[in-house]
Amino acid sequence: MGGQNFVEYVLEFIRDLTRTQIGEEEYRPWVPFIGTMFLFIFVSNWSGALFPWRVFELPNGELAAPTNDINTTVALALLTSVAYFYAGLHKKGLSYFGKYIQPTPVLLPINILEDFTKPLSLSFRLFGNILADELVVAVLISLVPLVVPIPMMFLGLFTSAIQALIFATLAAAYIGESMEGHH
Amino acid sequence: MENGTYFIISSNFWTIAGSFGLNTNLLETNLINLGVVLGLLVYFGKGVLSNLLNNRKLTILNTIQDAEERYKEATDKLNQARTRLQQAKQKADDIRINGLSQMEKEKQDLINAADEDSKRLEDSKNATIRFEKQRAIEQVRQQVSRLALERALETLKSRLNSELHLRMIDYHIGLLRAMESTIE
Repeated sequence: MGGQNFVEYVLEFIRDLTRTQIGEEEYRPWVPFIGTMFLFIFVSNWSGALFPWRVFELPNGELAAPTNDINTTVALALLTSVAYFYAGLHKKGLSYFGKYIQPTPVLLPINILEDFTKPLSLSFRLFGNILADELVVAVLISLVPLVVPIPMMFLGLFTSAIQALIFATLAAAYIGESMEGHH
Repeated sequence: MENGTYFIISSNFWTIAGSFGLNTNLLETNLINLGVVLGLLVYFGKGVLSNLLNNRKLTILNTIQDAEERYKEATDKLNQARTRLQQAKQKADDIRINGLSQMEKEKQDLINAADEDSKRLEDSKNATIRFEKQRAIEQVRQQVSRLALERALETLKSRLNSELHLRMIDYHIGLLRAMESTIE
């Protein structure tokens, strides 16, 4: 009934996103990676917010969105880090490390620091947003179980979708940034 | 001790399960809220999503239709151009054939004209030759008659005496008389 239409729409969306960030010539190989990031985070967030996971009780811990755990988000961020390193090295060879001295060698420590802050910020942004929303909804439920949490849940859906988009866009931007400057 | 306090404080808010199982407390599992949220999401989301997808489908269909129309137009124009090319070729062939036949005719005409000229020249040459021949013959005749007369005169001068002279005058009178009688 439009299943093909829907899937094509999602694919076009991801392709567009990747093409905007990485550029027209070499965005094609990265569409699967960015698509995976986006879809994984999006589905994780929304399924964590929409399913009644609390029905299932476990002896230790609980069921919730995977991305509310710092381990997941750090893993995703490290993957992104590896990805943009690979992109830069594959394209430029060892002269990729020349970018640390652009535009002036004075900025060398800042550039090196950036390599650590990028995955850090990615992981914590996602983790913080998802966990915070989940905690707020849980607290509201335990206080006023019935109607009040509903707007908060909608806000949670909205921000988690945005967070997925932001993560994917930033990943693509980092990849594009490490591949540019070859002309 | 610490574990005990922790358990007492937290048991007011979150239950610790301790084993696998299903939580049936409706309020705690948030089922009602979730149901409401899901319902609203589906209700509004379906409209938006189907709108979006429909628009996309229509755009794609239009693009395909446009492309097909342009293709048809292009093939039509190509066919027209082909027929015009055929016609032009035909005309070129006609012109070429006409040109060739015209050339042939001109050649023929030139040949005929040349023939006529040569014939005329031939005739005038013949006429001149005949005329000259006639003149030559006349001259020769005159010459011959003059010579004959001169010889006769000489013979007469050498042989003439009065008797011959008398006889001749008589002869001539007789001739004149005969002529006179014939005229009358």
